[in-house]
Amino acid sequence: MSPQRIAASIHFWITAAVSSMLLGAAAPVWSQVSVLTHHNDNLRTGTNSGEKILSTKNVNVNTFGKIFTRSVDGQIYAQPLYVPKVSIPDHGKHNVVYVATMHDSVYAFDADDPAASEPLWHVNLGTPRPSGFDTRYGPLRDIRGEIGILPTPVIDPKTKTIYVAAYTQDGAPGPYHWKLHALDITTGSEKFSGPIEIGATIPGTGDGNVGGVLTFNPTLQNLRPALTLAAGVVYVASASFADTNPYHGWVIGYDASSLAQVSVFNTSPDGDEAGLWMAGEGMTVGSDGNLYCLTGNGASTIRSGGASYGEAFVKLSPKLLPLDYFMPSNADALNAGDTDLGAAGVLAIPGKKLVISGGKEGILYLLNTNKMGKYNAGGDDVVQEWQAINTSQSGSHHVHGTPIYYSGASGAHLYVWGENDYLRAFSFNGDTFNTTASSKSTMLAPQINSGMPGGFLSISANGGAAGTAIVWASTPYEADAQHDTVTGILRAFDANDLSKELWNSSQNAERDAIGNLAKYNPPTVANGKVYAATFSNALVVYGLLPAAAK
Amino acid sequence: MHISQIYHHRRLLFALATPLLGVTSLLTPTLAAPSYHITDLGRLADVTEGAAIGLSNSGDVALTVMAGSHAHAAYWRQGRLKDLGQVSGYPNSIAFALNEHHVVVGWTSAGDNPVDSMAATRAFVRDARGMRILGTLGGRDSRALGVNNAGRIVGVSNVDAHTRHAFVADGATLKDLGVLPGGRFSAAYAVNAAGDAAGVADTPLHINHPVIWRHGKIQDLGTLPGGGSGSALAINARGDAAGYSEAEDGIHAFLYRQGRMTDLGVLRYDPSMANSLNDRDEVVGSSNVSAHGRHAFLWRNGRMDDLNDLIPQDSGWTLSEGCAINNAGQIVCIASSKGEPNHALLLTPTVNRPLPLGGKIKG
Repeated sequence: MSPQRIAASIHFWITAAVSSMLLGAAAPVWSQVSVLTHHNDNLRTGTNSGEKILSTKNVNVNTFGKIFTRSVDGQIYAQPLYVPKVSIPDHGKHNVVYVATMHDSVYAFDADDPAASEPLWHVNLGTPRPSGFDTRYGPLRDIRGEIGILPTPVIDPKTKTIYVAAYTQDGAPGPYHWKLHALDITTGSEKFSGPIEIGATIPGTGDGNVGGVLTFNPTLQNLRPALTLAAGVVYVASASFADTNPYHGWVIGYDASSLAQVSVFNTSPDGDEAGLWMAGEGMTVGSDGNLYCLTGNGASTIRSGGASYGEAFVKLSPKLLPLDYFMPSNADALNAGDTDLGAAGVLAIPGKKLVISGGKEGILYLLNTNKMGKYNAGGDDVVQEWQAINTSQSGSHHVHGTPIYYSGASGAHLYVWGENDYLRAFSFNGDTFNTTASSKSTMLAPQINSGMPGGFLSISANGGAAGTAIVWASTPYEADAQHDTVTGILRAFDANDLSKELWNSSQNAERDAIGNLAKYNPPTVANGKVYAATFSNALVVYGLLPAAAK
Repeated sequence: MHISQIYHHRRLLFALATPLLGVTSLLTPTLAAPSYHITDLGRLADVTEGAAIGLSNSGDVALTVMAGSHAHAAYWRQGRLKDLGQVSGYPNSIAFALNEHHVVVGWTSAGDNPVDSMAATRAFVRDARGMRILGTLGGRDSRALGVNNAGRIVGVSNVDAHTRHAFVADGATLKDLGVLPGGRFSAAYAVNAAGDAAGVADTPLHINHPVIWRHGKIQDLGTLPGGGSGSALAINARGDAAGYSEAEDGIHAFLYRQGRMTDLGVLRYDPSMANSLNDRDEVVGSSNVSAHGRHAFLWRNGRMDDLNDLIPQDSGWTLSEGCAINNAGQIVCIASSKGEPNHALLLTPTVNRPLPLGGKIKG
């Protein structure tokens, strides 16, 4: 080991030890927040509005930085989840961060103590499927290494259960399985007689039907979206691996207490494709209790009396009955240009009957949930649509990171960071958005090759208190993450003025470097810390440095 | 030896060798393909995917550039780029097409954001008298998408808040081109010297079909076998059209001529789409080459080539979309260079074209 690395190592351990004394032993005592699902809540706002420690004043390179890391056994595609004050048998109460890996492991780590590097518990759920298998576009390159727990799990705090969908193989080449596990968050033990095999059949004449029946095929279906828990049902959803046919978008509901299948929806029962990727976002549950999702390229026969919803927002009842949809008037052109609408998930505006999102065209569509707009060749029947990405920059305009939302001292804003563009904030007047960004970052997401995938965002704030709202953004550092594992960077911005970058992980790279970008993964912020997934087989934890935390 | 000279040299060798090769020459790839000089026209303002760039037979180009925070139509001619400005009250102007008389058409937006459903969009024409707003068919919005040398303009306009029809305008007044029987929607994307237009119209079941208006009458071109929908985006002086259609195995570019629709295939993967064709039925467009990557293609004589293979391999450019091709074989493309925003490139063949206009084309 070089002297520099030894010094760095000593510095880390001293830092870790001091942090342990200062922080680990003094976990916050106020009412603490939880992060139980992807992007914080079922509206997918991405906002933790109960952050009492981090503010625009103390998040800077002098007082904020990396405080510890946790080693895991694979890439982390799933957003880390967080539950405070979990009673772990024989270990007492801990604030716990839950990490799922592509090696099919789930870890429960103490969320505060830098010295507690060993997990409180760890389970492995099987053998992951190696990536690189043959697809429509040649060997799969979108995901490198192996495919295990790809979708973000979801936690039910009432029953102390974390629901996990794991991809496994019995051997090579298969058979492959998607299995739904219900694990006790205190021990990792299986609950409710789990796991169960994820699968479904429906009547259908679409691609791949056998005798008028369509069957969920785990070899081709990719459970990309996060799991969603709503009204006692756990929903899983799927797309494909690199558009390899025959595939469909599926949404399948399981009773949260018995894991019995209770509902099924197929996006293209009389067609093909229409996958649900949404860059890992879960189904969105509106204030009306209905579910909202966004599909990619595929058959769009719904507009002509059929039942396929390619390139559409889809509204589903809790029992997964289709209730309404919106399909842009240029859906055919989107299909022809491989310009998927469903490249990101759906944001439901809190307190409003509005949902919003967009896809590869970089246009955001604001929809009335009571009248989604359906398909109208004569012009989109929407509340509002506008070019949100890249109006001043060239390159692809894709929105992969679902827009997030925060209402604070300076009003309500939506935040979105598309490919090859600036992080932008759009102000909301209660009905519509100002289509000129109210502020934007000073730096672009890296414009390298395709510029994939833009930024993945979260917000922390102390309610509406001025000076507390921070937008956290994860992007590639200076590369394209489409097919490659690349270095990442985590940035913090003043949510009221995105031109003010407060901190980034490269300002003091020796101390704060994040490692390899966790593609499509927003940071998790809870109780004074930022939990950042990586593709470096590690969870990186940032917070106030020991001196600042005194 | 410079790469373009290598291409030239290879073509010469091919010409000399062809009589000797006989049937074998039919199997030899790419040797008859042209190579191109590249002219960088500058950085593009990409307002939406598939930004339109117009190209005249004399090599002039209509494109859209950024002017401060707004998008402006611009005109490129012989190395000089001119910002065409805006109309009062419409801060954005988006170019779509031009003719041989330096007339540019497109659309304007009354919003600060060029794509904003809350703001009106209006067709514009820009000629020697300046930039003028055109009317509508009764609704709020209109867009001009094509213009011929006689100054005939085609496009799409709202008839009411929820209905859009194709229009033709020989002056300031728009005339409704109508729809297919039982349909509600149509749009015209291009117009040729005879005044015939190509575009799209829906069927009673809201399925879009490629259409041509000949002498003002709409004709449904149908789709490729196995497909349900499509759209025509271009038309040439012969009345042949190009666009995209669903096919048995995805969405493919097509060429429609003499009453028959030909599947142009794909570079590697679907979808592919044709944006433009010249009077030799040479077609340019784009096709997927990977799960997420698209390349510009040139289709001629029954063969689709990746335009990236026909430019110097050390150019540093990746051509993602072939936007337009003229009768001189010049092509305008959207292209990117590593780490750089998209630019418009003009590709000019390095040698004269062998086929005479109106020559027999293999299918």
